[in-house]
Amino acid sequence: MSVWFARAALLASGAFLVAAAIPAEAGLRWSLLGAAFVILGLWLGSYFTRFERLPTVGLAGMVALAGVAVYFGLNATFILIALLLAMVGWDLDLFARRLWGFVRIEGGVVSRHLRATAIVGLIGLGLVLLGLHVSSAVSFWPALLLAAVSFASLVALLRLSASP
Amino acid sequence: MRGPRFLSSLGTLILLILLVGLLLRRGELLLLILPLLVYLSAGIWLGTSVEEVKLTAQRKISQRQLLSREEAIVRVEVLNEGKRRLSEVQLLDALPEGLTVLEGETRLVTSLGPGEQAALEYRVTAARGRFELFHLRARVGDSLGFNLIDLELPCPGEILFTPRFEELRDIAIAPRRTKVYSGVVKARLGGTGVEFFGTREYYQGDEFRWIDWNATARLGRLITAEFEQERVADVGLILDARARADITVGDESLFECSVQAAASLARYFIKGGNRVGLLIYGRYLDWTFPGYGRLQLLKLLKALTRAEKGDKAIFEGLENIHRRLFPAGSQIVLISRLLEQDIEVLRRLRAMYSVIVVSPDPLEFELARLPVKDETVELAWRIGRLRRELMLNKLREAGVRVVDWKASDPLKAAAREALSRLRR
Repeated sequence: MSVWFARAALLASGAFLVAAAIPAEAGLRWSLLGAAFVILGLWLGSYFTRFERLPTVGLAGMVALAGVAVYFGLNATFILIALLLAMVGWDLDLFARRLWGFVRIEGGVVSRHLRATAIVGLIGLGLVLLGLHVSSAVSFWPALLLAAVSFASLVALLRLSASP
Repeated sequence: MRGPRFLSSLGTLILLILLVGLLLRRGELLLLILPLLVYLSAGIWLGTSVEEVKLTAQRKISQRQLLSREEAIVRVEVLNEGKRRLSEVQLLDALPEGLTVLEGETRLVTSLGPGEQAALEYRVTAARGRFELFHLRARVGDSLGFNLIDLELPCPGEILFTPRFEELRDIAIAPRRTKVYSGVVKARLGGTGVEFFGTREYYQGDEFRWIDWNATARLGRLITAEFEQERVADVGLILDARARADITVGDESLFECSVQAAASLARYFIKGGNRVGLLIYGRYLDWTFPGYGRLQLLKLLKALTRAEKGDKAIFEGLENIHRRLFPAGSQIVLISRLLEQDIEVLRRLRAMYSVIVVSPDPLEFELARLPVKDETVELAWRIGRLRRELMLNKLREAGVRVVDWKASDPLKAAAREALSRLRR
């Protein structure tokens, strides 16, 4: 079941990227759409392989695409939502790959994971929308400060998680 | 334990975005971090640490010792003794090669709350062998599968699939020496027994009923009849495990027939009260010291269970069978298809022991499994047959008793035909 949710999330991510790319100049638009088509095509096609790293490579590709789109001033809301959906697709994809080969799946493992992913996705969406709202009012240097704080928090979280 | 693998992927992506954002001095690029950061934070927050995972496993096996191709039920129960729910628990009972699962699953994904337990149950079988099961592999993850911890839960167990055996009857052996205890082996000594052995002068104290009245009347003095004593003997089984003496067609092997024959013979001789030892000759000298009784039978079956073919150059011929391994004058039973070069060794062995050779017929074994049987095959078979007959006759002439056994037929018929009557 999680495979279908992953595919749906990836297709929705592609749709938001298309929506963001449509108003762009023809050259940029077709470059973005072509790259998205290749990345998502390879990603979705990778269900037939067991190459574990492919979803992560796909996610990195989507991040790069989103970066290019944002750099050229396309609709940031659509791009961030596309990235968030790619993120959800990545998570569900890895989950589905982990369950490959298991005939017995019990204890509501799938529903528990889907629920957790949905909650994280919704929180992410809320934060993205909030971030967009804040960023429209904040210039580069305050944004950099925000990023530095985020980075410091990330490092602190990592150290916390690594400590016994 | 596997570390937070996705952490490094996400962390790298976040750092890259930060770097690019700083280099290009574009604040909106930094927004791309947000979705990644949310996921990362959730993963760390929900993550399970090794200390929180307290899983124990217990293995139950319905029967630890079975005959070849019988079935055992294995049940592995896993209990979460920790205080935290483990959202994703992958369990895998990796079975050793040779063990076949007939029914049930050896893998399971489940979620375990505190005090909850999950169970894997499956039926297994195997042709022959000793299978040790050491631990259950577990992979524990949180709701997002962010931090996966690999564990090996100890739950040792052992299953023994011993070779099948036939009920053998009427095998008469004639070792040069017997033991002092009464048994079923003719001891070549007069005394109490069943079969008439001879007559002698009456001694004071002889039982009245044993007086041979005919001989007494003929000779004019008291004559006592004697019967052949029946005692137990030392029996040494030698299983030929040389790879070059084996024939394998598909997954069937003549060696397996030899192993089954050795098991049947071991059981037969032990049941007769004899002291039986076993030498498996091939990979190395696998020697089971002679002994009596049920416990010895178990030892012999265990040795046969682990028997494997070997192709060591030093064991190419049978010369390295140690002459003093078996008590002098005991009965030796060699289970081997036989090679030409073995004749001389067996002749020398015959000088010290009574020797029986149980030889599964390699020609019949191979012929039965050939897909095409044309004139050439028939001719080759006839030539092979003649050579084998010649070889077996050489052995018979040397005083070795030979059982030429078609492995597709029961051993008891061939053994009864060749060994039921004692030729001295």
